[in-house]
Amino acid sequence: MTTTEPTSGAVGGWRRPTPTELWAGATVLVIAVLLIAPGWIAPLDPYRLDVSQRFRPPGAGHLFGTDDAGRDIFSRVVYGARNSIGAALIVVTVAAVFGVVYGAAAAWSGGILDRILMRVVDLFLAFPYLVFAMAVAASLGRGLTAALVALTVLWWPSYARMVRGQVISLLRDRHVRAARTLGASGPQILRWHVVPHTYDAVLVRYTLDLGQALVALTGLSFLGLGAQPPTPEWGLMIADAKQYALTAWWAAVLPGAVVFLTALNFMSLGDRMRRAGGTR
Amino acid sequence: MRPPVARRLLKPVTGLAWILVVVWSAVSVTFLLSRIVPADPARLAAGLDAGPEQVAQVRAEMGLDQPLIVQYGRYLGDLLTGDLGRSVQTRQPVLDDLLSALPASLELILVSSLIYAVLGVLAGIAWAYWPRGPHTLLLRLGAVVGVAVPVFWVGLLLQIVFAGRLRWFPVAGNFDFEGTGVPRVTGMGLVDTALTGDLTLVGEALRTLALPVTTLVVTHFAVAMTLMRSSLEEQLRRPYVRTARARGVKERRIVFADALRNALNPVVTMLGLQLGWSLGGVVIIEVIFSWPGLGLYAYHAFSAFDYNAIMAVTLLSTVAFVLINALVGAIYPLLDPRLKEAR
Amino acid sequence: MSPILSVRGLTVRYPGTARPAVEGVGFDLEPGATVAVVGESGSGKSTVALAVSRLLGPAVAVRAETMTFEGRDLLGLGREELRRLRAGRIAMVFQSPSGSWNPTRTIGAQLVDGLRAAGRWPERRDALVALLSRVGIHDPESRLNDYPHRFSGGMLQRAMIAGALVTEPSLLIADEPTSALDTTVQAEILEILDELRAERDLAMILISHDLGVVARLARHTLVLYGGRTVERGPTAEIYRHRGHPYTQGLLAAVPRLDGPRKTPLPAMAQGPVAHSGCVFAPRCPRAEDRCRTSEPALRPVGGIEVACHLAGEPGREPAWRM
Repeated sequence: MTTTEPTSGAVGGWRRPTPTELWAGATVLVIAVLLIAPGWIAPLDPYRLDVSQRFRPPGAGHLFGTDDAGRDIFSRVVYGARNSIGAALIVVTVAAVFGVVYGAAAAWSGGILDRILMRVVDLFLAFPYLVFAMAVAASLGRGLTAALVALTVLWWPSYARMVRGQVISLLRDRHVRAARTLGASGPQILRWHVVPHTYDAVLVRYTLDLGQALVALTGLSFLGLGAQPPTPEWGLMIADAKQYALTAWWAAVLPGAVVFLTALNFMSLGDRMRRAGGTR
Repeated sequence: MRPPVARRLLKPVTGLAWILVVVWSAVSVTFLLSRIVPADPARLAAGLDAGPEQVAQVRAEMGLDQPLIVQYGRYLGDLLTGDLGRSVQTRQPVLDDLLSALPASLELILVSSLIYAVLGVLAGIAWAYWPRGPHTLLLRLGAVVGVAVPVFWVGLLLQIVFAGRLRWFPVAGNFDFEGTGVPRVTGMGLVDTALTGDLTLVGEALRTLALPVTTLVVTHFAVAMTLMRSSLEEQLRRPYVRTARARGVKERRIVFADALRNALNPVVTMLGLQLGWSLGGVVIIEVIFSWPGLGLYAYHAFSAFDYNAIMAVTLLSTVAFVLINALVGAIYPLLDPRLKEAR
Repeated sequence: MSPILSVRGLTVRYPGTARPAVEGVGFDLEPGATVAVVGESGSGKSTVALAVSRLLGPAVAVRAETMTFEGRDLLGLGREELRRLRAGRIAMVFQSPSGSWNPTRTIGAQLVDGLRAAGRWPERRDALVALLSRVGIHDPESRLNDYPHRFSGGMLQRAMIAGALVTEPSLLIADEPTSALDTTVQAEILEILDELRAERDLAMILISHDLGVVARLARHTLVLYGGRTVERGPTAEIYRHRGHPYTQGLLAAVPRLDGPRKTPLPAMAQGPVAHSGCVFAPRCPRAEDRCRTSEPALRPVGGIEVACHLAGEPGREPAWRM
């Protein structure tokens, strides 16, 4: 991957992981635990109502305090990762896979077909994506799935454009010509000699986009266009807490801080990977 | 390949054609979306206590019993005459709703765009000009935070601290025209109070703008700053800068007379895109601060499945986005003499 | 006559590199004289040019035993003093004609910037126009308002020369001034450069990889390889002696219409530069064991100085003679 720094004294294929790799590994691990087993971390049931515990400020019993229904906000944030980070992962993964295939296909086909395919991409990029995502999500019927579909539909074109550019320049490369001379077929060349070379840049973009998609998704659910109550979802939690934000600040501020720090983590990690790999 | 002269003559034509294609696509997509709305628009329009006959009557009135293609044709025809339909919620023509909500949003967007553009460009120049020192730590932090921070979080935080706790600024709403008796001329608080010449009223308008504008600036300036910096640094590595240095030209003059103009190109593009996107970002801000602009109108439309309103807002922002991009394209030749001649 | 520029033991190291790009380079330049610095790309010749004009930037470490220009220590000058020096006394011409001009400003604006920096605007305005006409630009008054893309490469380089000389400098550093141009234009530009130099009693450092160019313009030559001086002396003597195997190879590679095809310079078998011993040893057809272990110092051989263990040893030298 892009983060590989000069390997000094690599023995038996193992070397000390770079700080960037450690960081990426830790991120993956934490997210995996949050998605697979939130119960290990969350102290309480995220859905349990307890009116006697309403509006408890952050403290010993409730790390992030409680909301207007007496639910433990920390537990809701932990369980909410499934809906927030998980949804962002789905959006960016589907968009990246589709975009890579689309972009590579356009670059490979070339000529008029390439121009038509890229005009479609241009068209998608000519829409103000946030407003469109809102319109699509609103029309599909409010819900997490609607928000997911809306964002994915608007997210893939940037991957297509990026990958197409790279594939076109790679196809002119010597090793591709060599493979062609050796009799490799078109799809074989794409699959084994071209597309893998775009993975570094795609991975950087993917990491950066996880942060972007998280902010966009929580933004949609903040507007009521994503997950619906009582689902624990970060944007939705903040939207609910908005009404009493001036009295119980923690209910809005702390989940928001989690969104911010998660996005910050993805984006600084992506930024670091980009600089380590030297890709723009 | 077409000869260059023909291409030059065709360029504005293809540009216009492209704009029309984009707008037409947006129209078609929003039309399709509005017909897959899960809620029955006729039911919504007729009201909850309406009987089946009334709903059927409303459906016929709205043309919803016609085949889809007929509805589409009628919708396109209405659009061309400027008829965007009626809002289900306000029961008024959507166009009137849009026009009355537009000034508030424009005020917010224009003021904050101006601030984050200037701030971002200046900070980016300073960063490239003084690339070492303690201030870079702050700028680097600002760059990372600025792109990652969610709009709704900044807005709520500012609202809680500066309106709720410190009470420096109003919690919500735009300038109070009715309460102060300021006549609505443009509908923008800042402009209309300035027209009265009363400085305390202008101050009042500024106070209402402070928090939403700050939210927009905080979440938007980082992109311009980072891009300005990298673009200027890239220009300062060019051979022509070395030539100027070899001529003994002062560093400040090299940056401002030579490199800056070339470096501004990508920054202008990005600022244009951001301006085009800002209607999306402004929805959340208007919701938080109850700012009665297009964003808040769209929010209510989303909640009520008010599909005429949703379509209109989406269309409007697409048209604005496409036009802004075209405008930015028209600015390039002013920055690059090679393009100016090619026109 | 005392030298206008005196360099001893110049060593330049770029940040993050293991070896210095230039090490122990030295030469003297008399007023009105020309010294050529030759070598292939990567030999450090352009670095020498940029080090003398102090254009390498703060991140690059430039050291020297002495580096004086008109009696002033170039390494001891502050930013503003250096800027004034470049504005007035030291002029430069660079290789890439199109890259060396800002595409979005007129030729005139960029030249006037230089005159302003030297404090000679508008005093030297007419001189600039005259000089532009002298270097072969027709209708210079109106062409000052043109943007660089309206000029050909040769025209840009002519304007560059005019801009360099209009402030009446005493030293001109020409870094591959004609390498990017057509052969016919090359000859014209070189002629103009040499004429103007002679008229103005201008000292010149000519950086080039083209030995034909060097032979025409430079009295003295410095041959660099891997950042080290491998040979130094009067140009004519160097051509006659060919003391260093690298120079022999370089000269053998000059295409000639009248001679038979010569053996090309051996391709790089290993890394281009040795880490111990003679820098050229990995590519040298005559390298011996001592070449790979001990570094040869510059020593007088005939009328020149050569850094080669084998130079001047009887029975070996004629191996590469043509």
